[in-house]
Amino acid sequence: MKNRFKKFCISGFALLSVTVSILVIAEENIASLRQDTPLNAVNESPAPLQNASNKDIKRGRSYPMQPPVIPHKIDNYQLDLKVNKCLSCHSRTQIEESQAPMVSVTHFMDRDGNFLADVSPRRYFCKQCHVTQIERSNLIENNFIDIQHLLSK
Amino acid sequence: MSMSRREYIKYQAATIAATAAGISLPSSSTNLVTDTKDAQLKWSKAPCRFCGTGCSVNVATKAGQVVATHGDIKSPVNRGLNCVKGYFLSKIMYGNDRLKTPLLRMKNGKFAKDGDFTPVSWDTAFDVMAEKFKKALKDKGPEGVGMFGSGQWTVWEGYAAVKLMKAGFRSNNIDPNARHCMASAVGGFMRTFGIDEPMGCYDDFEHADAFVLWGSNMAEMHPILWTRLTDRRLSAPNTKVCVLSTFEHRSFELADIPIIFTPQSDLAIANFIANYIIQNDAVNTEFVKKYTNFRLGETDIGYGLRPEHPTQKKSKNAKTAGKSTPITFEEYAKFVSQYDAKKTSDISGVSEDKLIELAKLYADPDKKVMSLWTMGVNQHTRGVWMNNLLYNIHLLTGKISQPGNSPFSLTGQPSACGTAREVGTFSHRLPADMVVKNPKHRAITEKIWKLPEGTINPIPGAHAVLQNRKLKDSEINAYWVQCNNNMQAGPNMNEEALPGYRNPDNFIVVSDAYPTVTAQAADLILPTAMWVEKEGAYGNAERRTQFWHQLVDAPGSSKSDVWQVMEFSKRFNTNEVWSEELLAKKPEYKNKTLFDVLFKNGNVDKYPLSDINKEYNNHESEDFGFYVQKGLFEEYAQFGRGHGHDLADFDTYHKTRGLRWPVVNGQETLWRFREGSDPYVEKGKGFQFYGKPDGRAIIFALPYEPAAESPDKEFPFWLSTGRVLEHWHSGSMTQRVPELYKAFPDALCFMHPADAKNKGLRRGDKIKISSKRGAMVTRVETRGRNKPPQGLIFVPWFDARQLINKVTLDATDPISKQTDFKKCAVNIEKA
Amino acid sequence: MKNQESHISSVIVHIEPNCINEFIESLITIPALEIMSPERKQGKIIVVIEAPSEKSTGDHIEMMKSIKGVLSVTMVYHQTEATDSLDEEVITISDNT
Repeated sequence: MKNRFKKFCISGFALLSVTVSILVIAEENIASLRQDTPLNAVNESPAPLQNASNKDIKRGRSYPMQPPVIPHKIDNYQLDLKVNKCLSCHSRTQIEESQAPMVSVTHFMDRDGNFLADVSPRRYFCKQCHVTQIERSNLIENNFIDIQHLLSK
Repeated sequence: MSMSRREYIKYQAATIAATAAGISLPSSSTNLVTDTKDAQLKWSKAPCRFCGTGCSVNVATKAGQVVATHGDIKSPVNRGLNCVKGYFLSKIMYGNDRLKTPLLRMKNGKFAKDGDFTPVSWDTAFDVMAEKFKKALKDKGPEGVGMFGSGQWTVWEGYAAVKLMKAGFRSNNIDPNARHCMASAVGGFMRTFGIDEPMGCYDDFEHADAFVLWGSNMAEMHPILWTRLTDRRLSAPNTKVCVLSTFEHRSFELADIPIIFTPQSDLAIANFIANYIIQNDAVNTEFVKKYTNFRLGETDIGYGLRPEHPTQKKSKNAKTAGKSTPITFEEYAKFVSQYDAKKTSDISGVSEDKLIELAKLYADPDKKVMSLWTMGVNQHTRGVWMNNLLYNIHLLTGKISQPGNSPFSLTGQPSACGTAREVGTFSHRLPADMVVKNPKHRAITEKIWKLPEGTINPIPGAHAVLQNRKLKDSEINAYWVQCNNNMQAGPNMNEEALPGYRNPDNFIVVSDAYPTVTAQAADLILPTAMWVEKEGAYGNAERRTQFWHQLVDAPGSSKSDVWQVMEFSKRFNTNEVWSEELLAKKPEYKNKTLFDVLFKNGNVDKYPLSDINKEYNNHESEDFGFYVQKGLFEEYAQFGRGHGHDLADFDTYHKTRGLRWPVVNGQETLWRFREGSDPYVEKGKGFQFYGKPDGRAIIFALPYEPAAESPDKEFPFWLSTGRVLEHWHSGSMTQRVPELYKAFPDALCFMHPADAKNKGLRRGDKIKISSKRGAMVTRVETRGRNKPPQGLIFVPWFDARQLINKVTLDATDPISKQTDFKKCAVNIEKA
Repeated sequence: MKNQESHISSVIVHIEPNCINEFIESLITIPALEIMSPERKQGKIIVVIEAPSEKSTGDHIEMMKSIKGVLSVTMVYHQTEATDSLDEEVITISDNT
């Protein structure tokens, strides 16, 4: 068990119009996402705004069907009815020039499984599946084990 | 033996395809998986754990763990796609801080409200809990206990909980978090149609010529339905998309007609459209004559605040909010005629041109229109009205119950429909749209449940917001929260929720998989099995019921919600909780436990363990000695069969990718209320809104009324709260998935750059957002995905470290009792 | 310069059951395609494709579609990998597991 901070213990009085109630905020000796801010206190130091990682290095996937995360920033990318900035590098016709990875061919398949000449409209909004990442440690560690590690354990 | 990456990938590729095709892949049939039995994954289906879309996923397990998930190509909902949350389902159960044992606040070896959380056995946990519930029942009667459940409960979890509360404890103080989410939608359906849930289905996406989003950001909140809408818009170029919202968001990327309106003025816009349709002879007269009635609703109905609140005191008709009187079409036409383009433009801030462009989509008889809405319309102090007004437009034009013509109320949670609504876990409801107030409905329920006549309490219990008030006022003293995080999710945490939970008169139990904000505020925490750690069923927004098997075991001594409810019921004797008078009507129930009466009643314990699929564990059934889920489901299904809510038999759902009810003679129903598509419509009727005795839906005359709280000098900004794509609700699962956390780690205040500049603020500055009720400190974002107009800020509520619900107001729709999380007044200052 | 890539994908072929043998015969000589587990009653066959490009993958699929009796070819899975990484040993399972 992690060492828990002993927060504080108060019995405060809250005046109400109907009744007088006592609020017992006990020591919060369980970990939570709030870390060391008690429930009745305001977290005065929210993390600074952080830009997306821009290292442009492919990150590993936990399993083959996981959509790759975006290893570069995408601030102000136009992505609407007229323009899809992502496809200006990642589409079939652009990869030679851009040297970016091409979208998977599964993206050329329509809802009924037919292959199209171009990316299927159902895959048009890339950000529904592909997200940028910031450089920061995990909030809570995750014990998921991918299949390759599980088998070689 | 060893395997190369090539062999491994090919092997995976083949098994995934075989699973999708529903065929087995014997290792002998291929030269590359000869010796790889150990590498074999077991693939099973399950619905996604998150939103109300109800995507199906394939889940791979190995050595008792989920090792991969991907979109189910066989599912008609998502056809192989998932959103980013769905793709990371594999990781939601593996946060390092899973709860593994019950935790009770203790001092000197005894329960103490101000004690430390201490690991205890399930026996100790239930001993203390039973003592507290018994004391509350004795002191206050059935009204002294309460339960807060969930639209993320499985069907049988919600059903078992309703039985324990409404039959066992005879208390209607049970409500789901769906009260915050879908109550206004339910109110709208019941008022207009007399029967809950959409008449259309997702197939409408492939048929519509125009889509109108009312306050909904589907691109982030219903991503897979957004892919279907996008597919239609981009492949049929004449299709139009109109997006209405109080701020610009991702769904505007696809908008042909983008509309930003002043908060609350959607009421005026909807009335303007009705007026435009009438003024331009676009009424489908035959449809209106044959299939509709007109009514005038009560006005000035208040804001569901505490009765002593000054705003509430001012409203005249708070007590008769749901009342209405019949009117004629002409009277209705006159009523909406006040909403002309000029006046509506003044109220809404939308240009007359844009209003007319939108109205024309609906008025054009050759355009099939799908209207879509969720929280923007439902979380609204006039949410039921807004639902009614949207149906008005579709009824006036007859654009309903046909492919592509569809007023579609989207659902937030995975089983808000299947569990919260269909099972009837609301404080006023019973299964299959029945209500506790109606003596016939109580009699039907008592018969199916084999209860003595008069068991069910006829007075509706406390709804979500009222439960918190009653906890604070010491009226509810024993309280059980399952499968939700209401301390973070509920409104006005500072003034209502937290004082209620920490009131020394009360004992609060929270069942959860993780130590949430709500768990922190509890006195007893019960570790809970989640998602595929139990056999489950969800019902999505298009009436599709989907099942899954238990695929892995839960960690430690975690137990599912249904196990907890049933096991806890063993601690109560009928003599303790029922009156002698009641027991005299069924003397054989004397001295029986509630478990015996509610769950060993010949229905729930009807199916033997041998009915369980041998390939999967089922920890509840192993414990209780019968097939728990099947028994609960089949008893529950009796309520709806033959009454327009027909469900198929239990085993069928394990084989299909879900079916849309009513399922009659093995056939699902795609469009309700239309002859030829819905088996409940009588021959020759054409359309029949059979939820109403005369088969007619109601068109309501309802006005624009202002919001409960509007910006003023002291608090000059509107605050709207909501979700983001990467996180599900309060983030208790998704913040523990590293990729999702790092994609959108912290809550932010989205605001207009000019507002920031006027306040001397720059992007990234630390600010304090405060209301009359509380404050939150956060960072300014002026260039993010949400672009509010001047005078409005948007703050997501997923972040446990930044609780925006300390700021929000507990104003509700007076009819649906659903909170308006989209409108309150706040101030911003540099912190 | 671009590194050599390999595209591995799997498809479900839906076919008239009486055409299955002919289908298998016409594919057996193509090294890029591996046939798995024909399901004769329902007429379903899983084929794994390894091809140097997405275009080549598409060509194989088009070719399969043109074979007699084939009703549909549906891609389920696709992954792109650097070709030189494919021969790495990734899993070692001890004999006593």
